[in-house]
This record gives sequence, C-alpha cells and structure tokens, in this order.
Amino acid sequence: MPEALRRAGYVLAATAFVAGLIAIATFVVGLAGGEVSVRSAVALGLGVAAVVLIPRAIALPSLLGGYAVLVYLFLFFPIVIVVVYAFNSGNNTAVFEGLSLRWFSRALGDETITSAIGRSLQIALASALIATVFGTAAALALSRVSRRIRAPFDTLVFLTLVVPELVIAISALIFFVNAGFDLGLATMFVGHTVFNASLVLLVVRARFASMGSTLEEASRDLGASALGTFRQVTLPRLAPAIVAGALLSFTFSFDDVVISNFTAGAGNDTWPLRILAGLRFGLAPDLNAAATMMLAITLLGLGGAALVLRRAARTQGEPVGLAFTGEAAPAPAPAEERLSVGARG
Amino acid sequence: MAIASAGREGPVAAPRGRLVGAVAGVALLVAAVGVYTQMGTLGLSLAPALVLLLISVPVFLLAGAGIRRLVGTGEVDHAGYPFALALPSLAYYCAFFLIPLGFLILFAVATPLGFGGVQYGFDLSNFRSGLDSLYVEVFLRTLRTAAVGTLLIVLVGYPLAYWIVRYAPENRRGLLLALIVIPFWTSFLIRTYSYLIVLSPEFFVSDWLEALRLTDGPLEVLYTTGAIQLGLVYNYLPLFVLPLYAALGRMDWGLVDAATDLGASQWAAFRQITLRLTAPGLITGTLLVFIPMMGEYVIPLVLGGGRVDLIGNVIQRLFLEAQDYALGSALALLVMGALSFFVVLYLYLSVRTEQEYGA
Repeated sequence: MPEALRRAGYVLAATAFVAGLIAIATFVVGLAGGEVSVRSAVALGLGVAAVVLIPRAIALPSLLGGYAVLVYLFLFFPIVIVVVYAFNSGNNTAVFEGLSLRWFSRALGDETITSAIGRSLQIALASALIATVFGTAAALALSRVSRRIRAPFDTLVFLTLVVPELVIAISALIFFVNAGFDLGLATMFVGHTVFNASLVLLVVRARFASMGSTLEEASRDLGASALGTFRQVTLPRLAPAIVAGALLSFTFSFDDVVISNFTAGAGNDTWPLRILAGLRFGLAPDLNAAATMMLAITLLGLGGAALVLRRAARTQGEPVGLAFTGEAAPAPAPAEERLSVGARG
Repeated sequence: MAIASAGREGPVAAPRGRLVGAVAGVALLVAAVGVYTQMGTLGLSLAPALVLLLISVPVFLLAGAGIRRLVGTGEVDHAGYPFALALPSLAYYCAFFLIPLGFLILFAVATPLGFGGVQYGFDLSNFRSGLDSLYVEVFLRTLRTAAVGTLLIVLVGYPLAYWIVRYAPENRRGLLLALIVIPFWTSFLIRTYSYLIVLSPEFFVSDWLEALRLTDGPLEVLYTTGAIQLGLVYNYLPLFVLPLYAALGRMDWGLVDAATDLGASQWAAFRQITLRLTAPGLITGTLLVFIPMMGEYVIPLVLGGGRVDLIGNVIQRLFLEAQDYALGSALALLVMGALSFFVVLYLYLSVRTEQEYGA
C-alpha cells in the first residue's frame, strides 16, 4: 500500500524534524551550561541538517500531518499504557509479564478502593445536580437583564473560574473550619459546586443567548404561563447545553484532587485521593486496574452523551459540542433556525 | 441586584416601590447567605445539604414573586425569566466563594497561634516571612517552569491546531478535535501518574533510548524538574488547543492566499496575517494554561516525588502538615498578587503590540 507507506514516511520525517529541533535545543542549553561534547556537536550537525533539509523535501501540509500523528501518539500513549499494564500479570508496574485479570479482582475486593469510588460518585452526582440547577437558573435570569446588573455578576463568575484552584481550596478550608463545618462529603460537594455552577452557567447561557427570545415571547403571548413556557419551549431547546454542562460538572467533581484534598478531612478519601495516597507507596498494579475501570465508565458515559447530543443536533439543527472552548456555540444559520421552528409546529 | 428593577423593560414601578423591592431583595439574599453559611453548625451531611440547596430555588422564586406583588410592580416582562432565579447562585457564591476569600485575607494579616488557630489583627509579619529568600527561590522556579511549560505548549499545540483547521479533511475535523478532548476527560491524576510508568527506568522506552545510544544508561528523568515539565505540558495541552482552534477556525484563509499570490513568503504571510489574527485565541490559550500551572502542586507531588517543590507544594504543606494557616494564606496572596501583575503586564503588552500593527 504505497499511500500508507507514504504517510508512514511523513510521520518519520516529522519525527526526524522534531528530533532535530530537540538536538539543537539540547546543544544550546548545554552551551549555556558550559557542557559541550563531541556527541552533542554531532547531534547538533544532524539536527540542523534535519531541520533545514526536511521542509525542503516534503510539502508543509504533509509534514504537519505527520507531526499531528506524533502529537496524538504523545496524547494517547501514556493512557494506553495504563490500560495495557492493568492486564499485566506481574507485580512490577513497568515490566509487562503476561495477561491476567488478577489486579481487577484485587481492586474490586479492596474496600478502600470501592468505598472511595462510591464517595466520589455521590459527591459528583450531588455537585452536578446543584450546579446544573443553579447554573441554568442563573443563566435564564441573567441572559436578558440590563448590563448594569449583569456586569458585576459576570465578574464574580469569571473570578470563580480564573482564581487558581489551590487558592479556592485553601480559603474553603479556612472558612469551613471557622464556620463549624465537619470536613467530609458535604464540604467537598460544596467546594466543587462553586466552580461547576459557573461552568454550567457559561455553557447554558452561550446557548440561550444564541437562541433568541422570539419563541418564548410567542409562547407567553399565546397565554402560556412562565413555567409552561420554560417546560415546553425553553427546556427542550436548552437540553443539549444543560446535558453538556451537567457532564462537565460531573467529570470535574469526580476527578477533582485539589479542593477534595483540602476539604476531605480524615477517612473520607475520594477516588482521586485514594490514588494519591496509594502513590505515596509507589505505583501499584491494582491502581491501574481500578483506573482502567473508571476510564471505561467515563468513556461509555461520554459516548452516550455524544450520541444524545448528536441526535438532538440532527433533529433541531442546532449543534452543541462536548468540546468546551469557552466561547458561544456558533449561532445557527437563519435558514436552519426557520426550518427547526417549522418542524416544531 | 434589585428584584423589582430586574425586568428588562417592565412597567416602571414608583421609585419608592422600587426601593422597597430592592431592600427586600437584598434582605432575602442576606438571609439565604446566612442559612447557607450555617449549614455547618446545623451539622448537615451530604443529602440534607443537597436538599436544603435544592429547595432554596423555589423559595427564592416565591419570595421574589411575593415581593413583586407587595411593591406592586405588576406584570413582568413577558419573555424574561424572573431575576429571582439568579439569587440562589448569587447567595451561593457569596457564602462559599467571597466569604472564604475574605477569611483568606483575614488570616493572612492575623497572628498565628499554631495548629490552624490565629489571633485576628493586622500583622504583616506573615508577608515578611513569605518574602523569605527560601520561598522567593521556589516561586522563581515555579515561574520558570510555568513559563517554559507555556512556551512548549504553544510550540506543540499551535502547529497541531493549524493542521487540523487548514489541512485536515473537513469531515474528520470533529473527530480530530474530540481526540484532543478525550484525554482531557480522562482523570487528571491517571494522566499524570501514567508518566510514572512511561518514564520508569525499567520501562521499554528507557531500554529503547539506551539501545539507540540516545541516553548513556537507564532513563533518569523521573523525580526531576524535567518530569514535572513534561507532566505540565501533557496535562494542559488540550486546554490551549481548544481556544486556539476556535480562533483559527474563524480565519479567512483567502487573506493568506492573497498575500502569497502578491509575493509574500509563506513565513511572512503566517507571521503578518495568521499569527496576528489568531492572537486573541493565542492569548486566551496561554493564560488558560499559565495560571493553573502556577498553582499546580499535584503534578510536582506525583512526578517530582517530593524532591522538587513548586510554590503550590509549599502552600499545601503549610496548610495540611504544618497547619500554619496564616503564613500559607499570606504566601497564597503573594502568589496571587504576582500572578495578577504578570497577567496584566502580559495583556497590556499583547494588546499594545496588536494596536501597533493595527491588527
């Protein structure tokens, strides 16, 4: 297959190019530190040759394509390794000896792992629920109020997102200790929800703003109550954004290390905290197995959500991606908008 | 924050009515913040706390409607949803974000008594100890690591996003973007500790590098600044690519074609057109990765093995091990101050460059 062969060539060329850049960078750093050897000089020569010659030999799009393959390998290689090594039969996490499921049964039999996963699930579900309700409610209320009212609120939301998590975590700890909270599941849930509510608010509002208020106005003019309008007009069209926001919140809470680490108190390890505690004694294969199971669950959930959203996009002609880019979803083209209105009634 | 004034162009109430409505709205908010912050003394566990927060939404709605009727603002704007819907979040942010930040500042200027206790007052000694050369050195290391990490992420991420937007087959773009997001959805901690395997001297990567004569012996990257740097780049790359992808997606490539047709080199066209038009996405992306990197302590904890500290590790230990909340708070505020300074400087410089070139 010459096509596949050519692509492999591009990847190889991109590898050589990147290696060349690294060789040059290494030489420069070495030079600054006063360490120059024959070997680094040879590497420099080869590196310069690769960096100069390869772009001349191969067109930019092909070279970039090969490079993209490298980056995707960089992104997925470590995750794949964790999954593969979960099936390792040996005790050493870095040396593959053979296939086995023993670490899965070990992980499932370890009460500290299963109870930690249970705690994480409880917190993440609670946090996603409250964040979705609060965030959606605020998005509805704020989207069409005057700028004077909205600006301070927006600043507040922005702050909850940009203040480093560590700072939020330590202030939460100080507050909880001084306000008489018992550190535990409730404090972790409360801590996670600050960030999550802002996340949902942004995602839902971007969608709501791009929808326009024509349908809501029509509904109210035709005599529907506010609640009826929300249930029958706004909610169905907002659903993809709400689902996406809820998923983002769930994942954030489920994964969170920083806020949990500070507000967990003793004996309330969540799943990430259990991993962190385990790592203190070095990497263990049963952690890999448990991580792999979590990964499978996450991917199944994500895949399901992607399907739901895609279906919603197809029936409504208003795409909302899972990718949270911090920007409003592209407004639907007018024709599409009219079509979706027409299809509805 | 007045409920009465919330309707966009609703019927204007009498000024006195609006004032009463505003006061009642603020009182409602304060009451809610009070209840939220007392959740601890009520001894609420997860489920009751959840229920309390959930029922606050209808309570706010009913109270808002009640106030509106009381002050007689009458019908609200048809299309708008009542402003009372924003109050649960507002009360929540006040109770669990603003008040805690207030405590942080209060503790930073308090006198430590040990074991997390403080004597409230105005004592700047915490800041003086925070500026100790020991902490300054760690801070500078953190700054360097985050800056290099951001630079590396730009170098890795920009060509990738550029390729996806410009050269990848159009029907594959969604998939290619999803493939960048998926690692971001997998657990942050798993992604980080995966490098404990990959960089292990017993792993086959180490053997291969040695066989290729690229290293002299087993790989010795783990538990060094290099490993931390790699972990930072790996974890934060998607966060940079997403806004950049959005910026590149809005590019009009006709401009680049026009420039090259008129004799500009590829590189000149890229530098003078593409780079400048995507500058906003580039700025957003770099800030999105730089800020969290400055506060990062989990990656250095895992991949640095406690041998290399960033400022986050120091703060974490002050809180969770030394229980010196006052010094920890002061240090956190110093980092925040420095961070805001750098961010403002960066934004100022980039905006000025943009104006200079008339982009």
